[in-house]
Amino acid sequence: MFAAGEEHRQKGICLMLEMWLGGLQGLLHLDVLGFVFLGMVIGLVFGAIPGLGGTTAIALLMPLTYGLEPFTALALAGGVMGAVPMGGSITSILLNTPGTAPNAATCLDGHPLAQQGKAGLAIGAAGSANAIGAIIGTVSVLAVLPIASDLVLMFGPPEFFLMGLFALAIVATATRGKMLRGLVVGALGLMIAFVGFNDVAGGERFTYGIEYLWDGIHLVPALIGLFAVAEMIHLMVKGGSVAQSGSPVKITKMTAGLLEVFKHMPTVIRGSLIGTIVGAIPGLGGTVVAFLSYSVTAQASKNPESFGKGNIQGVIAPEAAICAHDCSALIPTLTFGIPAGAEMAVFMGLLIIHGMQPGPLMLRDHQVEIYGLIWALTASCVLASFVGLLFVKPLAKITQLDSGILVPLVLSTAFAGSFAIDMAIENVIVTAVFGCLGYLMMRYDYPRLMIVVALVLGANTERNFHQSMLMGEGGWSIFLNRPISVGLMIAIAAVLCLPIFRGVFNQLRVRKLAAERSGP
Amino acid sequence: MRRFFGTPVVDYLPAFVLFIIAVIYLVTGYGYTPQARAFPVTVGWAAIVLVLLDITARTHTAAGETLTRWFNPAALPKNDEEGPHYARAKEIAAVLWAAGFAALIVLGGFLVAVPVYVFASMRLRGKRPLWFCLVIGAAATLFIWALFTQLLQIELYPGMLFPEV
Amino acid sequence: MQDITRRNVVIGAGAAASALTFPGVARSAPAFPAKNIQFVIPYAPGGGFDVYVRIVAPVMEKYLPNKVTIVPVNVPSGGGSRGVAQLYRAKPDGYTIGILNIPGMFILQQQQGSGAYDLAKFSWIGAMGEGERYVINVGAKSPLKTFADLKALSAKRPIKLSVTGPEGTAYAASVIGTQLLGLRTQLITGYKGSADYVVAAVRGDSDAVIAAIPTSMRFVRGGTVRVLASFEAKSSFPGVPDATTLGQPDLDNISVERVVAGPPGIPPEVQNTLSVALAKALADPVVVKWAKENDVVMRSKTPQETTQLVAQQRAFFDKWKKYLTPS
Repeated sequence: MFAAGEEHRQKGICLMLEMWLGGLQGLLHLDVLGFVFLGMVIGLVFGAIPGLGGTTAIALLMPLTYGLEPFTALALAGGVMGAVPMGGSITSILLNTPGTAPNAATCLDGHPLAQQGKAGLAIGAAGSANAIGAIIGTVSVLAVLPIASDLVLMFGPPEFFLMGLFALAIVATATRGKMLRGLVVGALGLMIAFVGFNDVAGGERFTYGIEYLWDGIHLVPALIGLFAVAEMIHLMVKGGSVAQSGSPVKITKMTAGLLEVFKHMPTVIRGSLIGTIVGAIPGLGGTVVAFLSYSVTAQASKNPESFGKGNIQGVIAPEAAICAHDCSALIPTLTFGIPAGAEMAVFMGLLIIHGMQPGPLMLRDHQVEIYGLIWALTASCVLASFVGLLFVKPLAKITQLDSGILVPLVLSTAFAGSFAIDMAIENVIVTAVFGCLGYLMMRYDYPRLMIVVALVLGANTERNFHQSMLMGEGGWSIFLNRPISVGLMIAIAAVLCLPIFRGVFNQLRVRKLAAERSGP
Repeated sequence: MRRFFGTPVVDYLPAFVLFIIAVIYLVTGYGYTPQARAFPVTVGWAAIVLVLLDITARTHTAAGETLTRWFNPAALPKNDEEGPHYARAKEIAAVLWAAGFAALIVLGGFLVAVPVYVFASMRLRGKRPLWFCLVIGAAATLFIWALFTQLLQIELYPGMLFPEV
Repeated sequence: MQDITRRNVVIGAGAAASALTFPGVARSAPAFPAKNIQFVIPYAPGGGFDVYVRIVAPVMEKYLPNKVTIVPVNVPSGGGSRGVAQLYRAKPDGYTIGILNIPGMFILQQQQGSGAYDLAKFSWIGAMGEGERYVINVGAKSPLKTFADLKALSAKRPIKLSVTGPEGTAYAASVIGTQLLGLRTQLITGYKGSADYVVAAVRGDSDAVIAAIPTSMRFVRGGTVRVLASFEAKSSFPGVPDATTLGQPDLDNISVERVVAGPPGIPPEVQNTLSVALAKALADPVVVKWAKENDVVMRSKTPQETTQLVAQQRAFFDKWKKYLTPS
């Protein structure tokens, strides 16, 4: 009996490997590779322009794919999705303009590096982290795919709620030097997150009758404001160029960034694992994953105060997580049709148009196409990193452009991109308002990290809580009856207590050292 | 400069503004049904408490300094590497330029606002030669127009003053 | 001389040819359409309505008198109301059309209380397909095996039903359907998207879920979900009771219609051209094949049928208004 089970499992693994190789084989045709390359170029460009991203790119490419074979259409989409993060990192680092929402985490340390004249280093590191993150993510996904559907089913509203709290807790304790102010803006972010139509009870909240606010404050326009516009205001005040005059722009060699990544391998692996695991569960999303990876790395680091001032790890951690997440976000999308974000939603539309229904059948009937897609995504991510590395020198020159020219151009593109997301002119107003807010936060030293995570998580966390209450018929016991929930609660407690333990531990150590010094 | 508990009044401003926002939020929040207001009101009260702590931390009293040392060491005088001080007028001007651009977009649409703003910004702020400003202004507008309306087939906002003809 | 004569012949032949190809407009090429047509989709790209438009629009282009492109434009703000308002205010020249979710738009207007558009006044062009009906599903691992089991459970305690937010059609279908069937429910609201709330039932968050047939079919085929009852007049699922069997014919009125419309006041000839093109597109083999693979019936409707349908849906949902709007 055992022998039969073992044989069945071995057969299953063999079949999977066959499909896995089949996906690779399907990719290695000149025309298919051509489409991956085309997707990559489009992804890079769309990723770089704020407001446009994978979502717009795939939506626009849909008509072009009509005549294509499903496999080729997926290769094109994979090409786009793999390159978007790299495009976004470039503008995040050079101009503090997040090309896509997750890249906002890259701005935190990437832009200070550019200001110190180390733009080339930052871009190189981002590219390398992207590539390695994608590879680790792909391998993990392939390992997880067979049990993917069971995994997705283990996480429900109670787990999503606790995951949201966990992410908030980690990010809150990560801004150690500014925790009080971090919590203040976190609360502000949560308050803003509750604006809009209440999905659970019905009825609008805090919209004051404005129709645009029905969907709440749109996230990407707000981020463009908080980071890009705020930085442009700052440049207008400061004058000069992004790279502070006086710091020699190190036209770094292509390999410098790559070397940095290898120096910090644990960070890359940690980031990739966070990206993969959290991406496979349709709860948190790419933006939170990037900030989570950033925060965990900051916490684990020996000098957390250096984060936000140009610590290269602050670039490596989120970039690895983003690419790994993009790979594993395919899991809930493909196995259940639950899109892990707007980009995945459009991608699902593309699948349906080509006759592939996301769902349990997808894994059964279209395994080769899925593996082909994953290969295309990984290949595009790695390729996009190379392209980024190649263009490091000319890109870094942008940081030397005078603000008189740079600011109007960036603001024009930022506002236009913000509008183009969903054709709503109010997006421009939101961007402007958050731009002023972002500048004030910079000026008065309130960390922007917390407000972003709170904005993203606020509404979902509340929704999951109410759904959990409805599931458990009003009692809190629902959180205690589920093993994963209990585990998450312990984790949250641990994260919140960690700073206290660390503080006490440090005090003890200081006292011990002082005693030794004044001893015999 | 008036001082309040040892700190210039002006330094309290950010926390005070946040306090006002939290109060307005709470007042609005209490108008909703219990289930709808549960989370917002909790967060609102938490915000009030945190902002009060922030205000206390900004004072130069014993309590304030303990708070700062434990929870916000980055704001301590010795840690607070004072960044370069910019003239307040310059800051306000910069914010107004950005806000003005946004307002111009809303009123006149992108194809009016972009050339006007780029030209004005480069000429008045940047003090570049006239021909240079015109060229860059035109180039920026052309770039935005080509990228959005031609390549992406996205209609750019025409402006409140110029409704679709 | 000879050249002119040959040229005249060519011109004459051309005129004759166009007279033959465009029977209604004998002497000159039709004026409509002379430029690209915008197809407004009041939802984000990738959603159900978006997919329908992107499949049908390129095929519809073929059946228009002149060669133009139909450009899909997504305007998702405001839950869809922005796009609908934009369509309402557009110039009624046939160059802006859109797809509307009926009864979704009624429900949305009820929730928002907006006066920006009057749903009775749109120029109805047709509909993409037969309305989708709803079914009651349970997870494959659920102990409930028949509708009778469900009814028995409802007598003991309220049934937990996962639904979308109150602005969604699934919510309305669940509320109305369970009212008609006399089932006590506890709604777990707020799931986003068309798959999430069905997965909730598979996962065990809820006891059952009421979903549209094409969505349910995906899960049925994957073996993760079982259909207990259908709201159709005649069930397309063997062995499953339908509206007639359950004695509630009104259940068949709950449907999601994908209606194509233009702003109020489109000239009749233009409306007709669009309507005919749409009908032909829906009968095109490419569309028929896709529809079959996705459990959708692509029967088109004439403008008159559509007007009637919209009025009927409005009356139905006005009746149920008090159950659907917040107290």
